[in-house]
Amino acid sequence: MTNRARWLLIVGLVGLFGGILRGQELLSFLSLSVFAWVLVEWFRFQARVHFELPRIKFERRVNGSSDLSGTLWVGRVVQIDVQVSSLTTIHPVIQIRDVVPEILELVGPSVTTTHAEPTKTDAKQRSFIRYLQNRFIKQYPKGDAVPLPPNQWILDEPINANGLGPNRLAGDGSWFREKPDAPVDSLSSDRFLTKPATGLSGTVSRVTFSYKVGVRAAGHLTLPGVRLTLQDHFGFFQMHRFVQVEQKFRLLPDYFQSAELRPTVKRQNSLPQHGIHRLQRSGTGAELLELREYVDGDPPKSIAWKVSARRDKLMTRKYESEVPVRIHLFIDGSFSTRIGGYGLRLMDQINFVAASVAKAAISVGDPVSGILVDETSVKRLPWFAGDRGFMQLLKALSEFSQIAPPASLTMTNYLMQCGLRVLNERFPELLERRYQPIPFTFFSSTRERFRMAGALAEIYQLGPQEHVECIHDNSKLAYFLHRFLDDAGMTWMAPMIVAPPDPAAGGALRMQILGDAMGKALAHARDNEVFVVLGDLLSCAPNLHQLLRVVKLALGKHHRVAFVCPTSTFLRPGSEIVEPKSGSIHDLMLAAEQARVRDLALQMKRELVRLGVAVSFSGERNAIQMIIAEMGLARDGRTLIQGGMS
Amino acid sequence: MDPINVSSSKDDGPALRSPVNTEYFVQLADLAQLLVMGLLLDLLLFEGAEIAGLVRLGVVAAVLVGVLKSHGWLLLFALQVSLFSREPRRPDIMLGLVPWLYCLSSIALVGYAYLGKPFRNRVSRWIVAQSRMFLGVEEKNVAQSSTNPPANWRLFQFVGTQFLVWMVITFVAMLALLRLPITTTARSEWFRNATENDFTVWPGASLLVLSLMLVIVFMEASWRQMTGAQAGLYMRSSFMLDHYRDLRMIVVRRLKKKKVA
Repeated sequence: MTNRARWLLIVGLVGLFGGILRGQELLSFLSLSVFAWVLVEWFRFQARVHFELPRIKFERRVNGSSDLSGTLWVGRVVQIDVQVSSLTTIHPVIQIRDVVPEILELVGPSVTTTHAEPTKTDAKQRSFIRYLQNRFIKQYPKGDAVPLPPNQWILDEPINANGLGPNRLAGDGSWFREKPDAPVDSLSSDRFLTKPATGLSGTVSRVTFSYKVGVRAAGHLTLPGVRLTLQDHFGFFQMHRFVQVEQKFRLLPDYFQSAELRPTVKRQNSLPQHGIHRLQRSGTGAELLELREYVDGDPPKSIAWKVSARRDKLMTRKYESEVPVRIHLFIDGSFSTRIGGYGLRLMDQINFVAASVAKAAISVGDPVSGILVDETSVKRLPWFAGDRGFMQLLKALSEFSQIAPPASLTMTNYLMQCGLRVLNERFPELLERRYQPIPFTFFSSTRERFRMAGALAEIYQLGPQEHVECIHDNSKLAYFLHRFLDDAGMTWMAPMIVAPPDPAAGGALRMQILGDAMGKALAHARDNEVFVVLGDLLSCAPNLHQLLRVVKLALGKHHRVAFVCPTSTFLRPGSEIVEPKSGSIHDLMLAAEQARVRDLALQMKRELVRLGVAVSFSGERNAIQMIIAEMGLARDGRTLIQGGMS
Repeated sequence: MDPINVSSSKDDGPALRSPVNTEYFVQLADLAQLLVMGLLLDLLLFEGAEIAGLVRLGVVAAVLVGVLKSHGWLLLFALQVSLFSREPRRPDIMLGLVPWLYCLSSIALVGYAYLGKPFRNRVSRWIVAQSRMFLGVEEKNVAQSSTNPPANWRLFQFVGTQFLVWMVITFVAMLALLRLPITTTARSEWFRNATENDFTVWPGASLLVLSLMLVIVFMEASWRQMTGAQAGLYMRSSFMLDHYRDLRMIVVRRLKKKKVA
């Protein structure tokens, strides 16, 4: 029952008592009629809930496919169609919201629909719909009053089976048109459907909603289902339900397709095998590198007799090397790279750069390996080559991008609000008062906590003791809330971990782990390999010296090393960014943070460039180009420029 | 009217080629509706009362603002206050056609207020469309009407059904009011009926049985409407509530120990 009905009943009750006590028949009559009206509306609403709701079926198509699982790409627009059908008329008013996890971003126009009848819509009606939707939204619980997203619709007209027809239900459950020559417009108008396969005939009401989303980050996506809100015409009663229509997807990272790295003009007669590069160092290749004077020990077959005759002294041919180039991608997955929201995390920038570099390398036949480093462990991926290998690498990156958060025990108000809101969206039926008796209390916050604990206890099947612990123990409630939010596809939410007493120690440990991983990779490396370190190294820049030892060793072995250290602000550490834009606290703090980052970056750059390491502090295209340039240098063996900075 | 499809790119007919004019007429129709509403309110609130015109206008305007804001309870309250102050006190109930019509129109007005702007807008569009057709500005869309149950028909269907429901409700309420022992006459009749039926308290036993049946039906219906998760939650919460004090004691003690440690 909504406040609207409560107010009406209160006024009616007062009028009824007044009328009876004072012997005013019309007053009593009117008030009693109001009571009876609300009661009848309640019956009608309950009948709808009981008989109509279970018959409503939902089907979601993602990019035209209703498969239970699939693959999507970051940065691409995805079309989602939600089809609502019922064997009976779908009565208004129903609000339908396809629940979209945080990893997706709603794009495109607000509402697009293929309604089950010829349409007659204009701009005025759009504003009318907007008004209607806003009116509906206003009646929502307090925490739910959000701007209307495009994945939400309101049916305020009955959708019944009085339209054109017939369509038929195929044996596999899919709908098809019986009249293939019917006009296109009537395709969406066909609602008169039968089931010839079973011999049963029945009418089916159907309506399809469409919207578009963009994928924000790599990882996993679960489209959980549809949230329904039923309401009567007068707004006296509302009921929220969540209908599971689950589909799971793997989200692969986006990559930058750089220009063709292979030369389009044939320059040499003998082209090396795919994946083999002509290194301009002495070796056993087919192309001549240089001629030099004969020295003792040179094989006689390498003597260039014609040249020797011309010069009157023995000359020896030296040939180029033909070597493969392998790329090691060191990917930092520490906590700091995973915080900040999908699409804004350092991890997302790292994934973009890593996938782009891998694509560039694999396209010219260079194998790529990934070394996934997090706070405590190192995971080495096998060598990937070819298109299949590239996809496997992307899948590995996708898996690595979305791991469960550490068990956090810190409770904040923000966490509570988020938990309550997501609970309200995903499990609205568990927050209804009448299904969860709680002890009497004056405080609404305590009531909310009881309800939240009860809902979490039901979702995770907790025992009575754990249920009560959730009510009285902040850390327990925080643990389950974090778990619930993670299951619901929310991004990591600070505070994830308790701040360590010595932050430098954490940085030292990370550098140690990264250094060890590089050392191991170096031990197994051949000649001319490229080591690309992608991570949040700025946060542990004071401990960089732990890594420099391995870097020097790698450079000494003629490998190429590149560092990509993206920052969360996307601002390059220039001089202008440290000037506050205004005197506000926010701008001053931003400028201070930028100054700190700039100093760290400059210091780091100085140390690394001095050694001959390429460094980039952004996760954008210039970082990719820098690494591709390093790969090019590794392929042909030239050493024109040592290091670089972008 | 289809309020859902906003992506249609079809030619929507001549009416939509001049949206500014149509919108203007719709607003006019909105105003006309409110004017009719105001007149009706004035009739219902101040019939036979000798009140200054300015006061009447002010009250009607205030109630209309409530109607615009979908505050139907305000309208009901105004009607009740009016009846409270105007209606003569009578020892018995003599309801007839006029009170029934009064009650029906009052409830319809409250319902109209709660249906709000979307309904008002829909009615206005219908009025404008009819006016345009009557004046020959717009031709009837034959293709649409032949393939599709017209939106106007659904509007009439809804209004007709609702009026029927209200008529039944008010009629039942009237019967109930006539039968309930709330006036001296009804009480004496109630007592006479009770003593004439073998000195049993009529209709106490029947009412008791009926009430019990209703309670059982309601409880059963509400229990059966629960989802599995809701039933689980109900059981879990009930159990927790029964043992809440003991469990709280255990948990709080453990927390204190943990804190001390």
